[in-house]
Amino acid sequence: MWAVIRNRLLMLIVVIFGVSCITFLMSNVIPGDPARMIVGVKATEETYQRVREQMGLNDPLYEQYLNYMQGLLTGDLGTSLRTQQPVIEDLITYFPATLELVLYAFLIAIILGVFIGVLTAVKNNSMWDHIGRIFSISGVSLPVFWSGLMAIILFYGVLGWLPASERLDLFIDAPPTITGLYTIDSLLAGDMEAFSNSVLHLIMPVSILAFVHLSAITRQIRASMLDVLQQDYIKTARANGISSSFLIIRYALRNALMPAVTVVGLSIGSLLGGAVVTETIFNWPGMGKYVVDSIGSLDFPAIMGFTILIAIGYVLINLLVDLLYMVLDPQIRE
Amino acid sequence: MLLEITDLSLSFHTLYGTMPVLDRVSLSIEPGEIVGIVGESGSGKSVTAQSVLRLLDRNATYTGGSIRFKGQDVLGMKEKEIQGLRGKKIGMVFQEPMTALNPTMRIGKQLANVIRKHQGVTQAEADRLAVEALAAVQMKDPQKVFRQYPHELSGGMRQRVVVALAMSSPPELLIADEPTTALDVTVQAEVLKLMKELSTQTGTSVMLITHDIGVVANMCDRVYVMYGGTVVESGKTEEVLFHSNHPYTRALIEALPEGKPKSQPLKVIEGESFNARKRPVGCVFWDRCPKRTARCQEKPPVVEGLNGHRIACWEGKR
Repeated sequence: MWAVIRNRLLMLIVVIFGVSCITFLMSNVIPGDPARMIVGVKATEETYQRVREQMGLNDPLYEQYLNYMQGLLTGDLGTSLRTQQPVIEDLITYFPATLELVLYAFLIAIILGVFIGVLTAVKNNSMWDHIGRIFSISGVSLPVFWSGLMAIILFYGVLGWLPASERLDLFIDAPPTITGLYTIDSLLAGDMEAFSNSVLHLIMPVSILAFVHLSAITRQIRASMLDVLQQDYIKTARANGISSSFLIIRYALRNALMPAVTVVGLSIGSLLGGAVVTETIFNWPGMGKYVVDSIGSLDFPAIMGFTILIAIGYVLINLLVDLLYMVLDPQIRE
Repeated sequence: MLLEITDLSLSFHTLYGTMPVLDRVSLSIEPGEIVGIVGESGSGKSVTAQSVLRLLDRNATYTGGSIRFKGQDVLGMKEKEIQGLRGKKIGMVFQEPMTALNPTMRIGKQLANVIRKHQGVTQAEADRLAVEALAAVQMKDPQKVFRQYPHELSGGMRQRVVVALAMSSPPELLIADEPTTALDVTVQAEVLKLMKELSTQTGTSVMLITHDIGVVANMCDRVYVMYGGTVVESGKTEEVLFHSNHPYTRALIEALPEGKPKSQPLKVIEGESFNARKRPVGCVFWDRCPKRTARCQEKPPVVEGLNGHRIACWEGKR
């Protein structure tokens, strides 16, 4: 087990190097001049050149890169051109909002996905299976930006049931920061008004984000469950009088989870990608919206900081998946 | 009578329509008896065995006949009742030991689950009985096997675990569906010996499904020969093997390589093996039979000979 952790952490170094290299190069070859963005089109050539010099844009590329990597090693991701704040501080500010969104979406997707997947596999080709299939295919094929907008039109525009943007209503104060997750912080502070309001604000973006992943997980669980239910050991257990419900939960599900875990791990990457779109649609003040705004103003340090953070998260989550695999499968443990 | 199958007919629903698989199969097993069922792939022997525990998929429909276990109608039982039969009154051992055990559950746990289900004992007691069950199938270190996962055991050991599962609550009937086909020859003999010993100790009857006539000769009191979803010949083992009257049984015995010089080419049964999609109207062996006559295009009668020896053939004399 320690070998796996060590290998993954070594890999992390390679991944960070690769990701930083590529994003750094890309931000330098795409058209657009951050210095020009800052000084504006009406500035004199002299001002413009001075800003370029200050930002180090006139240095050779490798020198710029080395400077950046030097900062990275000390946790310095540079200063955002847009907010004039250190990028790392910006990311820390926006991270809890994204975490709250992704965490709840992920939990809902896993719990419901496993449940619906098992149900539709056990009731294979029944009405439940067909309903489940329509549900999951629409989840996989409807893009978030479409289903999100439709939800806003229906639940905010027409019905007026749910708020469509931000984490809280304007006149409600945010709870004191402990975890940064408003639902948890408001409960800890005993502020029920903030709690119920933040839940209302979460419902739509979380559902929209969960929908896609719920569908992917449902389809994977259904497929692997159907496969496992055909296996000889299920027949052996049945021939020995093990009851159906016990058989499904204790014999089949654990084996069916193994291929699903891989899919879930890989889909976390797209969950983060989906969060960027969801945050933009619902005006959610998280990292996704931060990076979209940064892209709009060619804020390269912010974009790079975000990309590297996501890459690190992705590698760590897949390390977690590998460890989970070991827990589930005794053959891999050795 | 422990098990009595009478005129059992069964069909599978497939994409291509309904396909009859068993045609009026009759079979009986007395307490303490070891009964063999021989036949090639597709003869319906496994389907017959799985019907006894109602283990077939939902696409199988019973179209006629009955299965009675100690007088109880198995086909009419509710799911709960049949669960009480499975693994308790009737144990079953399958062909493929490599895949017959849950790969993510310890051996002891798999045994204890079955023991708890049928004997209503505490977890600790079930664990103790599980170790005992492993000892009963002659595991050298039952405590160790108890804690192991299936992938840590050899094929022969896994098959013993499957036998231990089936015998854990001593059943009255053990159904063994080609229990040794997937094992090495030396291990085959051990597993068969083990089953025979357990059956003698506990008085359990055995339904032994195999395509190995040698195994039948060594193990079984009586034997049923199946072809194309019907029983073509049945009777005491020595009667069927030495005085067989059905052309199919005779062809099977002649195809055995044992006791023949190496220079002599092996005998084979001509023609294609039985195809359920092209089930003949008359005798199922009609298209391959060396002795067929025009009469064979009608269903042959079951002719009863001495000592309960029966054959389904127009040529049957005894």
